[in-house]
Amino acid sequence: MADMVLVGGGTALIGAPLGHLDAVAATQPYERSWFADEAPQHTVTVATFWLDRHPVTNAAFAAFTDATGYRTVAERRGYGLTYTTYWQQTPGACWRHPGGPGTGIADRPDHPVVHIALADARAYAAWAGMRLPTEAEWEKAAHGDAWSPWPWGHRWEPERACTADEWAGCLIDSPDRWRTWWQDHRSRHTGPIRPATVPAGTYSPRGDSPAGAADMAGNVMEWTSDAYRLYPGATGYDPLYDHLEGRYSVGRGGCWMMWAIQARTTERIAFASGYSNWATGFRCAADTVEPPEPGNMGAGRAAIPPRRAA
Amino acid sequence: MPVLIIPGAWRAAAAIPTGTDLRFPPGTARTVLGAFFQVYPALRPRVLTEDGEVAPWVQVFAGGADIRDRGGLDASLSANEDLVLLPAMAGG
Repeated sequence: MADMVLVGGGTALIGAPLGHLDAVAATQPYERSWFADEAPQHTVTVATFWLDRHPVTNAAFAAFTDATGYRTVAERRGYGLTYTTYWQQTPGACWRHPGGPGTGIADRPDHPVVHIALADARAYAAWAGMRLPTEAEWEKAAHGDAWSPWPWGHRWEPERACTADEWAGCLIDSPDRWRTWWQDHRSRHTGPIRPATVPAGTYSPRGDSPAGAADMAGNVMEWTSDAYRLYPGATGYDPLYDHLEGRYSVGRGGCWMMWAIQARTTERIAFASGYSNWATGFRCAADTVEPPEPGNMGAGRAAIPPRRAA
Repeated sequence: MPVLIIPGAWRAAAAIPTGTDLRFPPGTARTVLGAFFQVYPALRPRVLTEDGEVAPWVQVFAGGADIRDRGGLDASLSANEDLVLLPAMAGG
């Protein structure tokens, strides 16, 4: 099932136009400064690279842990972060038990793996003979060389991505509306609930990016290899972003419990070192895709032929 | 007096008017936060666990350093040190 798309090298426009950020700020209660780190738009040149067509799945991650005995950060510390009325420290929650004890993944081999910290993503990528995408690579793969707020274009269409809007069946544009959906979602379950991810690639091809990458909006937030930095010339941003610089790492793509504006191609999520929750996952990138070398533990993964983007 | 700096999104959630100075008497990080949560109790779960410790979903910086490296909530704050609260997942 795992395959990769080829993202052509060249110059891409990274970041969002100011008018778009003004519009985003006007549609919900958070201040304009909260979104200012997506600007100014600037060009970045990247070399041609391969990118996983979709996030790494539970099955793929299980192959890694079976082969290596690797234990994730959440497994080692003994708890994971889930959400009830706010984030919760849930003992035993990890990628194998994404909602905590009593929740499993046996019936979810094709869902994106969650509760993944940056170190976990890097360990898998190294095993697989690959790497994490840079932030610019991720964004280029999400919208192509020209900007668009969502992988498929300029209009939000919830049926193209696994987000809270899709689950709610309506546009979520405020924390109150989000809470209403979340309370309804929780009330449909008894006992601990699992993250409402969907099998990787469920929304393909209608939710795909121009490069053919699936789930670039929603499902799970994805680690990139870059430390969080404000874009050169950034102004008017929340002063707290100064404290994130160099300390945090960048995640992209939004997730199953986020709104439309949080699943935009230019949306930047900053994560503290070691952070993970039941919506953090990843996908891998590679400069070239070659036959595995003898002894490469990622042989099973690397031997899967990549798919060239249409 | 130490100034508490929080995300704009938290100000919105707690209806703290923009520009309101969150200034508290000097003490430890614990006493400063305690004074803050007396006024804005709704924000307490964003920062502390039920046991009263710094939650894993937040980062607390004093004088530019993570207070986990300065003795945790018992870290003393000088009069001119700001206490910065950051979600461990920020933005969006």
